[in-house]
Amino acid sequence: MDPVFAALAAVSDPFALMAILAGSVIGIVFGSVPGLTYSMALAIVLPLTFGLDAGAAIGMLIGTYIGGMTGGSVSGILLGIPGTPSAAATVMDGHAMARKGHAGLALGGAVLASGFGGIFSLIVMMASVDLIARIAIKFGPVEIFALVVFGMSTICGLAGKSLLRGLIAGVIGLMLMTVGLDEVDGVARMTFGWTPLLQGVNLLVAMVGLFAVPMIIQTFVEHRDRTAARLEAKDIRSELPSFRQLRLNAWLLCRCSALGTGIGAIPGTGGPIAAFLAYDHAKRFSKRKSEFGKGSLEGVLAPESANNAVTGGAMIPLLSLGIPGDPATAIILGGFLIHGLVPGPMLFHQNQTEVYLVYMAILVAYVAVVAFQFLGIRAFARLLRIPPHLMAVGVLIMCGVGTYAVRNSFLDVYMMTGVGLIGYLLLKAGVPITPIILGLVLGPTMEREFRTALILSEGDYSIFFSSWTAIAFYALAVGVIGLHIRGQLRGLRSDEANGSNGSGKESA
Amino acid sequence: MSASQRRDLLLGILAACAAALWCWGVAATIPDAYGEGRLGPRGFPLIGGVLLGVLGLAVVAQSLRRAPDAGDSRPKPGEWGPVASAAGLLAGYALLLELAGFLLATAATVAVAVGPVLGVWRWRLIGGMALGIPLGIYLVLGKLLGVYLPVGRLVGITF
Repeated sequence: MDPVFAALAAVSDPFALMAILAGSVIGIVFGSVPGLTYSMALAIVLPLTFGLDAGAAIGMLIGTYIGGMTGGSVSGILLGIPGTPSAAATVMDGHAMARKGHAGLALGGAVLASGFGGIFSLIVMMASVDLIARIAIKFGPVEIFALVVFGMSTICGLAGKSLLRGLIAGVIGLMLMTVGLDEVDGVARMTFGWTPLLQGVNLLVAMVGLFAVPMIIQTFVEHRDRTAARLEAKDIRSELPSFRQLRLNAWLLCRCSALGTGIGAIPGTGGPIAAFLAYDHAKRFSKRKSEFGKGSLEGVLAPESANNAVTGGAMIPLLSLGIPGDPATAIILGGFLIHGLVPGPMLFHQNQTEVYLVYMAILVAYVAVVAFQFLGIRAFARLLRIPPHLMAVGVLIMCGVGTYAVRNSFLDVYMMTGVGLIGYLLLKAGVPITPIILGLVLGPTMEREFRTALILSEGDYSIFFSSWTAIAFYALAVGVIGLHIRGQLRGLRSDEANGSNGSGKESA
Repeated sequence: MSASQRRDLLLGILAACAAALWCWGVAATIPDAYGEGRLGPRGFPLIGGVLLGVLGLAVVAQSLRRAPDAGDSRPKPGEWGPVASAAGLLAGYALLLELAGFLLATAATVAVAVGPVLGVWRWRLIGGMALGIPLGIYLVLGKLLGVYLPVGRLVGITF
């Protein structure tokens, strides 16, 4: 039988379809609960697939992966707490939209963008799997380091009014990620001899603390002062993006999906980098820059399309070279191997049916995830009717449970509390939180690749300028920083001009 | 000096002091590189500490040079109550999880949070939330999805 038809028959088997749907729901739930991760969901689902045939097992794993990647935006938009690191960039405008009473529009836009990004990356993956894999596999430590430097330059766009404060936040993130066991030399760093600290500051623990704890404290303060804003029922009706809104943003969706696919194809990068780069890109080229951070639909569509496009991109090195780009794809790789599928160049010759099965499972999973989230929008939006202070109690409990579940560690719950308190004080001091996450996300890759490159060059720093690809990334980073500084200087000059005009009028 | 300038000055000084402490910790506890031409485990933490110090001093300098303005977002004196309540609830919840397990710890924390902390003295609401939240999470996460929920060391309830 033709491999395409064989794969179609396998994926349309009711049992396989049920497995994909179940995986999608589990993924959405794990992705949307802050602290729970889709990597955790995949690890839990993997043993459940042992008794299934290959088609259903692959479908369930793919469904969980895609549901998890998409679900992260739900809590990010409704509660201001991203369910996954990939959804952190969506919070800035998604939650701002929810606070303005457009939760339904933000969720609808996020779901549509996610589906678009995912299916876009699937098409690109199918069309160019060989070409992109050939380029990405050539990225050595120098190129990946340069890519991360470029990623870090997006701090400029996230810093708000003060670049200095944004940089402080980014550096705090870079410092926090060094606590624990050094992965290159196996040396304990900043643990002061305390063994539990060897596990380091987990990204998810820090993320829950930084996003959730300040929100809980602020809600408690507002409840005490009776200043909490209750959203009216009429404000939370589902409001999907109009055809005009989608048409206006179609080119942005394509650009960000392409960006996400490319980033996803580079092992060790992943959704958060793609989402932040896409957000920064959307803001930079938007005609309505001032609306970013205050509830811009573009600020939701860009990161959501990019982080979901990573799923297709990440499958390229996984399928063609057997290289997983992140923990989630590593678990999927394990699942493939358990079910007799050995990813690598020979896969396309020996297991054509299974390759098509993966493509079709991704497509079905995206359709299922989009349908589940659309059908659930009203239910999700109803969450906002719950009084904020009571919801904060539920969030507090979920933070505790979710943080504990990351590594079954009570220390993580205390750490989350401490990091959250620091985050609240930093927010009060005008220091933005998101660059800390960016530092935590990009820091380990940055350090690992920097040190690996130096080991390869025996300490010769000129290696960092030995590749045109790396130089291009540095140039892009310098360009981003330069554009931001120019924008800030213009703003200062215009403020000074307004101030002098104002004072002139006052004196007159 | 305006309130926002004082806030910036404090932020800058605290950042610089934290950076100095961090650098001392790095130098005192992390070994240097083992081989020639390598950036050892000490390199990145030290670069981070130095950068934080420089940025802290830059914030101090900026706050002294800048014209005063009226902006101030420091926590007001009365705000420390909710800050302490939230932190106490989370830390207490972690301790209770360890001692009494998920079900008892969650029920107790929810009841304390809704009643004494938030001052919502509606007994049905307190009872409903204290029973509903732990049971709901237990059924969905613990039973349906197989997430491991802590069992208490002292008085845990298990099913």
